[in-house]
Amino acid sequence: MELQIKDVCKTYGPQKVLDHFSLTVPQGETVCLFGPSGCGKTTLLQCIASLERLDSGTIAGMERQKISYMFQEDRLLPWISAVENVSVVWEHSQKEAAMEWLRLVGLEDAAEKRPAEMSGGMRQRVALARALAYGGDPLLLDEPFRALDQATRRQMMDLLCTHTKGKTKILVTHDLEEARLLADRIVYLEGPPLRIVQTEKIHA
Amino acid sequence: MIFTIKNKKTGRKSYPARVVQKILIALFWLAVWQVLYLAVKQEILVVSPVRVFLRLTELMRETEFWLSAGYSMVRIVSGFLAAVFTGTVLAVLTSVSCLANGLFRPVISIVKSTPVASFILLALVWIESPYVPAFTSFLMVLPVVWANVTNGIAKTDRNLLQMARVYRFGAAKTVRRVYVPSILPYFTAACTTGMGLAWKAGVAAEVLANTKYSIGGHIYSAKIYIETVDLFAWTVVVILLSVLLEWMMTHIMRAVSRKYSLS
Repeated sequence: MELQIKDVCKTYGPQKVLDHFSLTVPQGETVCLFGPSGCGKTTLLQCIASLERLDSGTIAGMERQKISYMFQEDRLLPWISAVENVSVVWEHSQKEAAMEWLRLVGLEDAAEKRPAEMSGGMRQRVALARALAYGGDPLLLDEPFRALDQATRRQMMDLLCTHTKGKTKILVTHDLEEARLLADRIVYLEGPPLRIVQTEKIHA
Repeated sequence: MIFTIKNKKTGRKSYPARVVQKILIALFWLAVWQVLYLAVKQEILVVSPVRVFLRLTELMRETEFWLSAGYSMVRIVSGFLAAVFTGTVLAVLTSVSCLANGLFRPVISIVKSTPVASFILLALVWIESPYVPAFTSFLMVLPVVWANVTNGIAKTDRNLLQMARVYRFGAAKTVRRVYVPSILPYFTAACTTGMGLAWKAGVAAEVLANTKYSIGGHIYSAKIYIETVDLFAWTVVVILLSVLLEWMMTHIMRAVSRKYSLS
């Protein structure tokens, strides 16, 4: 289903973060939001995920949709292990299936470790495994590979592409190379308030 | 040397080393007590630890001692448990509802700042004397549990709650996976502090109410007949029971923490 963001406004105190912002994302497209820190990209993702109430405007195409959201921070539950942090998104715990996702992100040996016992990069990979395991569509990815080294970053990008074919993805990044590799379309942004400066089609 | 024996994995002293350390600390304070007794040299003011110990062994041979200790424990623990339950329910209510918060917060603040003696004397007017100690313990512990649990709910990580919302945890799972583990450290602190408070307030109520079969009743009699040795012996009983209950509480809370993977 096409995601339609139409005339969305969002204000924090005196600061207008979104001012009649509109964007349409067809089903299956990967859109990369590229812009400076603090311009309002994360607020937009939070509005799409219904974590923020809109002042006005509409976001259509998300009704009853399961969303996989990889936040800027890992947001893992600190009191449970990596494998439990993956399986927690399912209604019934499936340790074997969660272990498979951890294996895919290269963390099968760290399955029983808690977030505090892992590095930032490892935690980010667990968060990616959780988002993929949940199987939501669209996927909202807020700087998902920030804490990873170059080699791991490439592996995780491949993994993301392989396991999310046909799904709508909205990706926030500050890495243009990453954007060009992953996106069908790059939306260059400025703000606040968030506004589209330019759109670049990458893959037809 | 024994104090330097540490568990390599946890970095903590080994169990025997900790026990020996605790025994040595207890012996040190007993020695201080003995020195104080020798310095004062007036049994009516300070009794020697040996005499208190001998008196305790005498008391322990009497059925009334066990009845008094048992009934006191039941009264105080029941007041404590009722406060833990009510305090937790009120904390949840006042955290989710502005109306409940507006309604209950002033009452809890009044309960918190009212002197314990006022409550005991008012309770003696309102209810029958055997129920006064449990009621007093209840009133003393309630604000502590309420304040701590409310604080725990308020300090639950908003980011984790957002994550739970995105991944559709639902109410039950959000409570079990996010709220309970977040609140548990605050709840444990409230229970540990509350248990000590319940004992102090409960025994004070027993003294003023002169409750039958109670530690407080015996303390009251010891005061009336100026039996300083009995006063010391019953006070030691209060301390020992308080330590025992606190120890039990710590172990129960550890087990609960393990269930929620907190330790």
